[in-house]
Amino acid sequence: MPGKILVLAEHRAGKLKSISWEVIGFGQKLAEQLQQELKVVLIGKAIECLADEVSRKCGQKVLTIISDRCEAYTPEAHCQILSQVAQQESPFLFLMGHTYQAVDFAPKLATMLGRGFIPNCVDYQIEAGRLQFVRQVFNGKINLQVGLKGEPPYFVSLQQGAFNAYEVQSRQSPRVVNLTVPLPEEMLKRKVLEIVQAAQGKVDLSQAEIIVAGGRGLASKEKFQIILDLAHTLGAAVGASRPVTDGGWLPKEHQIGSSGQTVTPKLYIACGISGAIQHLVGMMNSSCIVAINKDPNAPIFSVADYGIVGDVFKVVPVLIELAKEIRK
Amino acid sequence: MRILACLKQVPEKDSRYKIDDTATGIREEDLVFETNESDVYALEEALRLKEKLGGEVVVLSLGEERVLKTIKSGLAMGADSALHLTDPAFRGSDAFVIATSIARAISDQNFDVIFTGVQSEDMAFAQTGTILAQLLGWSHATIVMEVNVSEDGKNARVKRELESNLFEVVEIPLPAVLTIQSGINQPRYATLKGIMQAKKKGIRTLSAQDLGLKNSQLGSMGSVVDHQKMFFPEKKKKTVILEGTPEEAARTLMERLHKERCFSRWPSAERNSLCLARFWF
Amino acid sequence: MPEETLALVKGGSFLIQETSPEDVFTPEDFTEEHRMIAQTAQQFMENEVLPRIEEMENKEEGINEDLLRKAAEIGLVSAAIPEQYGGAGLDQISTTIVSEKTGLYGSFATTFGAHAGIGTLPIIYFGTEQQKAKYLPRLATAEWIAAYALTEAESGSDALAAKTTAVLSPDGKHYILNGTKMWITNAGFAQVFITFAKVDGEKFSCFIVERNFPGASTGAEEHKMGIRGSSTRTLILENAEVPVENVLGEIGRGHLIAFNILNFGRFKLGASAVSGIKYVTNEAIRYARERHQFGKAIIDFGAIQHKLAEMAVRIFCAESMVYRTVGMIDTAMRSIDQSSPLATTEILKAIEEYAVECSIIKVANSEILDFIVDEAVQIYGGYGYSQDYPVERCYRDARINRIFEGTNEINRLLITGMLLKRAMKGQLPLTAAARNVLNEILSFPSLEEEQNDLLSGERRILTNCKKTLLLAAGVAVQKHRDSISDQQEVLSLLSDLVIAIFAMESMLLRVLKGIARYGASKLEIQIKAVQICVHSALPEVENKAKQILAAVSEGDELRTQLAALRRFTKNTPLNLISLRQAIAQKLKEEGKYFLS
Repeated sequence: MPGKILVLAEHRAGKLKSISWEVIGFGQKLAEQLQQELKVVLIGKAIECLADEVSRKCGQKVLTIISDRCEAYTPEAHCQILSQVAQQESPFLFLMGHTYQAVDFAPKLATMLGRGFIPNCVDYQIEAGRLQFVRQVFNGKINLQVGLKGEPPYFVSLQQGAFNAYEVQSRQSPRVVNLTVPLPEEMLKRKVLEIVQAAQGKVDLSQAEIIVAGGRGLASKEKFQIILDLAHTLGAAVGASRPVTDGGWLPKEHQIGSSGQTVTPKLYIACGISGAIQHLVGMMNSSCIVAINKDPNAPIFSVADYGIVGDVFKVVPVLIELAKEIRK
Repeated sequence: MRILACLKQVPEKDSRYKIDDTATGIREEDLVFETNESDVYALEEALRLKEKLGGEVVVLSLGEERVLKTIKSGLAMGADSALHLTDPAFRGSDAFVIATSIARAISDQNFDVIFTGVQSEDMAFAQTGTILAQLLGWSHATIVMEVNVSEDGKNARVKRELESNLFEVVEIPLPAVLTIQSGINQPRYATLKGIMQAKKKGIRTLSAQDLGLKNSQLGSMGSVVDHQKMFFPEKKKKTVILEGTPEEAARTLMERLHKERCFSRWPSAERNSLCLARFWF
Repeated sequence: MPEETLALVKGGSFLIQETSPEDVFTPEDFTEEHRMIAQTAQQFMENEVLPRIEEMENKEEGINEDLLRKAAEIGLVSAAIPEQYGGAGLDQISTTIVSEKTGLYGSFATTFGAHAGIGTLPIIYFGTEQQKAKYLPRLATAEWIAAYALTEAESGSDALAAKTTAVLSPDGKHYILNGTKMWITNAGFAQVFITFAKVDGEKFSCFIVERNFPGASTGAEEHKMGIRGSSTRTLILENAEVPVENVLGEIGRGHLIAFNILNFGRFKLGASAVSGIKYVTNEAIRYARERHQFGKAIIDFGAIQHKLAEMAVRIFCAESMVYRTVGMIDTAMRSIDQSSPLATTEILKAIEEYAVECSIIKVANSEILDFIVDEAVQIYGGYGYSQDYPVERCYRDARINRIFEGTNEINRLLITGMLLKRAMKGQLPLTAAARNVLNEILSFPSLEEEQNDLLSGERRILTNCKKTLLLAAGVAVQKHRDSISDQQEVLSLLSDLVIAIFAMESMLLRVLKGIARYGASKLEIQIKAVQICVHSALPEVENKAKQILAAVSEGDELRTQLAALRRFTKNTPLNLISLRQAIAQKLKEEGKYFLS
């Protein structure tokens, strides 16, 4: 399968997003498997240094499209640029992270080119020489294997954390090539007025590296304090299962699960959470899961790497003390 | 303002699923369906826009007869009329086919804004609205958390959700498609009066033929993605249960986590404290 | 609102005639609108009420009013209020659905029922135009909240013995009320009290008393076993001045209001128990699936399966009775020309017509509720006794239902009492039916044809239970004649038979209607539920009939009667254990009550 895989890398504030490193790492692996060439595509304004850095780090060709009109992302510019890139590079596959940006432009781009877009994949397979992707449907209860249909290029986005096993390799051909794509102003219908930090009320747990979460087993708002204490000593974010936010022990924004946030921290400590599927779908892709629960048969243990069968009110205080020691 | 809200009907959140014999879909017979969560927020946003600027809200749903429940609950919430796209040939359609059908259905309807949910809870492709905008040649914005349409109805200023607690405020010309994120508003209840009034509102039914679509353009044939098979995910984890007294178990745990470098990149307390701070104050 | 029109049925007639399945209303007959109303009400309870239980249990002020106003915005409060007074003017089925759903939390059910039910209905049905125009729009929005003040310290079940007095003021403009009303739900914040007092110490009458009328005040909050989230206080009337235009209905005819409204209250109580038992059962199923002992989930143990299956069967039963009855009431109400000046009288007649069914539902469902909360606590074991789990609260909340709206004892006496009264007045041909049964036992037994249709055995048992009741009742009335009303034990036992018959039949007809519509394969579990209900009821019926016969007859007479009883109650037992296991297995799979 000769051809090219293009990875569209995203950046903010001069840094590549972690998901994009994940996609590059996976892209390298896939390119090797399919014996294809890999290129990273970067779009933006004043991204020369970043392009160099990316190229050096992964040792791959980086294709940059640099324009003042790309200072802020717009779907029109992205689609215009990427359809031109597609024309010039005739790639086999467009890979990207499943991000707020990809959701915004990729379906438009794919439709412009008469193709489909397979979003939010968590796995892949090569069956009889054919590349297939796996994505979660029905709230993570079912996996759907999706094949590539029609002619390339194919558009695929990857779920954050699902491919973090593929570390970025340093290949031998670092190079940055710039491509100029005309972007007439009238084409850019969307005007970006400002980017703001959430004032309050919204808690984004998806970026947290450690999350300490509590559930119904904490019994009351007052007793939930020990979860906050443990989180504080570990420098962790605080999560909760539904009964906690329903009961008003924590604001709704802390809820993890199908009706709350989906998180993939490096470490997830679930305290007094029985592990209803609605909660599990929101956290089961965490790298390491610890469950503390008095019921040995609580479903939370089925996704846990480490389990302690016991009373949270006895275990957690010890963890707090030990964490304090380690921090010193 | 002529406003369209697209509603998808999906199985209830806590449903137990059975994969069908073809392994490309689920068995529907024992499932209970409800309106997709973010679509309800989309409808609420549509109703609020109508209340502000006047006009009309039409709800649209595609699917077999069961989606009438979703349509009727949309009417009961306050939509003025409804479009029901229904045809056996729609079965197995992907977002592209659905967007194409919607585009055909509304081509002569002069809508100013279309609201959809950000994604469906069943297939979660998150793209019907965006494809629809592209097919109509309209602007769009996804993952919308706030909508302000200018008084003259020419532009919309919307707030989009971004990663890491960021939002962007963008302006787009109308007509446009906005895909609405759950939580943007508090959807109203269908009031008892609304429920009774809904009985009298019109539902227009359109088949594939009415839309001028051929079988080859519909279902899996017309789809641009290829659903190969569905399967239940396997459990991969092996849980290590740490034995002993609470103290012993806690100590072993911390040792293991430390060894596995779970704390190797100790996160900056500043970033996470953000999450905490909100709670404290 | 139902698509089909059901036949008008006489109250109590179920005892003496066969009802065809098409003639009962069932939850499966809900229209799309009914389902949406159910969904709205359910969402309201889950989103607005359940999250505030803790605050309400802690008696934080203002929440009940707040919730009632929110419910009013949605239209739940005003469902029964006619449209011209700001309500939705909905049918009886819709208002029953609302009552069912609001029962999810006992305290709120009580608050809601006191306001939208017994507090508002008297004005709807007995109010003058002026009274309606003044009060209903405010009650519809819950700007004003209503309460119902009947009970007094020394007159509970014997409500007509009230001591509160009303005397016309010398200027003829006011009635001056004196007395104290007890256990008044919503008294803490109600603006409007439907209050009963005796004019000149004898004419039992009803008044609309406003909170800020001079001389009206409320006492301190009662400390109750359950429904702690509701407000219960005394209403103190010390020379309270009530304008004469606030007399509700006619002077001296307050009992009409009191009793008719209580019929509604009883029915609604039974309806609201239905969502409570569904909730508790679902909690118990969830717990039994999660809780492991001896290496397996406790739901896999037969002893727990027995409980859960019984709980599910009873929910199905409670629900079937409620909707069957409201179907009858709704049909009767619909046949009334609302514009006629006699409409109110007709409506009252219609309500009174089904007073027996209302009392049956009150007794049966409050006892089903108690059974289910008790079993739920048992399934939770030690945790069920802890305030950390909701079943503990549900257990306490349930208990009042056997007491208020007429104790179950009073209602049992009413059931048989009303039936006998109708029989004597010739309104219900019970006497003839009883005579037929007595004749039948004296003749040779006709050979019954064995039928092998689905549920034909259960239908036969039902018919025989009706004969058993008629036998026992006939014998008892023959023996005691006019003094039968003093035989409380006999009357109560007879009531138990009546209740059992209504319960069995309501379930059976519902399932038969379902089979005709969806086919038997879709109702496998419901069929099993009917079988369990009918086959467990039969020995109970037999036992109670025996007690009655043994108390009223003796010698040869008794022997003949017992022989007849044996004939009526002859039955080959089913394997109820395996039926229960099958239901429990499905409850485990579904993770919740799923029969309706």
